[in-house]
Amino acid sequence: MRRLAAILAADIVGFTALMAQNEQAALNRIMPFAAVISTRTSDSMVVGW
Amino acid sequence: MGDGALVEFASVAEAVSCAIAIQNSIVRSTADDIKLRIGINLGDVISSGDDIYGDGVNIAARLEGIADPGGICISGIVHQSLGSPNSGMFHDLGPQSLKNVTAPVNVFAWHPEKHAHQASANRAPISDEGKASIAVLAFDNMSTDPEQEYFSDGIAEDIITALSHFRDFFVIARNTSFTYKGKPVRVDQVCRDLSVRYVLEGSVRKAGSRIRVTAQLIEGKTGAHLWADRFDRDLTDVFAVQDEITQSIVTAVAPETMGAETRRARSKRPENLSAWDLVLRARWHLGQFNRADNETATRLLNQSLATEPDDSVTHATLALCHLMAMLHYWRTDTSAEIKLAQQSAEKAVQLDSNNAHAHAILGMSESFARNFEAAEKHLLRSIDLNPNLAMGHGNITAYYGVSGDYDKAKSAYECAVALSPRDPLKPFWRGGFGAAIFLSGAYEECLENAREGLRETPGFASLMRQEAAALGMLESGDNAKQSVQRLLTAMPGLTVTTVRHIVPIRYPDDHERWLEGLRRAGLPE
Repeated sequence: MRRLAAILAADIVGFTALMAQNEQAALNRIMPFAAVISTRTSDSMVVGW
Repeated sequence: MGDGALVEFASVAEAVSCAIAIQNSIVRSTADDIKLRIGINLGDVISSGDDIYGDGVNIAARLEGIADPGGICISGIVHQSLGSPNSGMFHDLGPQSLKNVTAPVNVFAWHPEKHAHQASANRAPISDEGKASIAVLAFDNMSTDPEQEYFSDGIAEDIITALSHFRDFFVIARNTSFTYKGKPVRVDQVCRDLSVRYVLEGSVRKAGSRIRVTAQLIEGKTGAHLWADRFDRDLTDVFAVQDEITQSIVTAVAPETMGAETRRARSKRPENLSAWDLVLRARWHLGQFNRADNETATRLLNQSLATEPDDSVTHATLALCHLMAMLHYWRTDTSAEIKLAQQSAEKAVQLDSNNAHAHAILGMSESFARNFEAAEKHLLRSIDLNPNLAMGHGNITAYYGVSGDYDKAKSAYECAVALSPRDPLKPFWRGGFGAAIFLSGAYEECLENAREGLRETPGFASLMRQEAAALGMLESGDNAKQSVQRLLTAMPGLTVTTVRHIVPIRYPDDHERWLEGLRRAGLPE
């Protein structure tokens, strides 16, 4: 299904390195940003995180 | 895209406001060295299962790739659709070639530091003079249902009204703070624009019959979250839920703001103190409950009155200093101190007859002056003017206490402590309830209450006297004697006669029984 949408792409600088060091710690650090997104997107579709 | 996230929005403004919120939340949590890049594009997307793709998505990902760490890049079409003033937060990078995209794309960029820098370059720093102001922004309506906007606006409006009854800070009027509605805003920007020190923001989100309200109080200067909470409720009765959530938020915001204000005033250099800073410092000293700090508080208040003689709160606080000095027998001319307290509190009410704080202290002064009818009138007026002010409920506890009304004293005390659990005046309120417990004859309970209070605030006079009087009635010889020793060490020269003048037990029989407790414990006549 094709539709017009505003797309936000976000990435953490150096995330691959962070994940390599400590996977769980890296995921924990993402949580706050994921939370900001989840409170601001009621009908939006989220991929990743 | 394994490391990142793609989020689809139905509106450009929502996508941009979300991006700025994410980047600002990182700036605020300064301990974190983590940085995000964000790109936003408007275009066609195709969804397949759990994934989305298409040119719209590719360009967003490429924009993200060229964004500065901590920054946001948006395409020209997003910038155009944004409209002013939010488009003004981005600067033009011109056409950029993006990997695997045939034609160059116009790119606009946002960066928090650049943005803060621009803002501070042409605007005054966040106000540090005088009483603090709070801006309550319209709560974001996160539901798709526009009907919910009545609810989200209603909560913010109710909070503004409730906070406006406090005299320790100003609240920006709704018409001004709601001009930011629906726009992505930076808290430091709002603070500069409106010259406020604190911002309360929040959101409302409805799912079925459940509603989730979040709120956070942010200090403009540091971006620090002073307080944040989340309320999940069933929307059975909209107005009841709105009232309850408003009440909870106001109850937290007022003391948190004053706590931050006190820290601010105490950290300032003495030569930079404004009249209001002096009052805040005086209150801190007053709350230490010892003779030297009480004298410092009195001096600071008089110093403040020398430059701002007409501040109602300052006069009321001065009255409180007199009452505490009298209660602790630091000043031994009891009736003179009560008279001075009455005069200062009357002045406070004259200067601002709608000041709930002033009425609460005048009511307290009248209680000590044995004008019980006037006391009740002013205390009830205080609660009527600002039902969320802990001091109104706390001080009326003492009035009910000395009147021997256990039930009313208990519920008023519980209400005051619920409104301000760490209030400096809490030991006085507890002492008020303690008087009611003593007069009800529950001496064990009175003893327990006094001891619990003394663990929190050692040396608070009323509680020390109640401990001794309760022990006297319980006839526990040695313990009673020791408590009287402590009493006389803290208040040298205290006698049954001086206590008769200090503590205004309303009815003669009660009064004699209260003094009998101290007498039995061994306090000299």
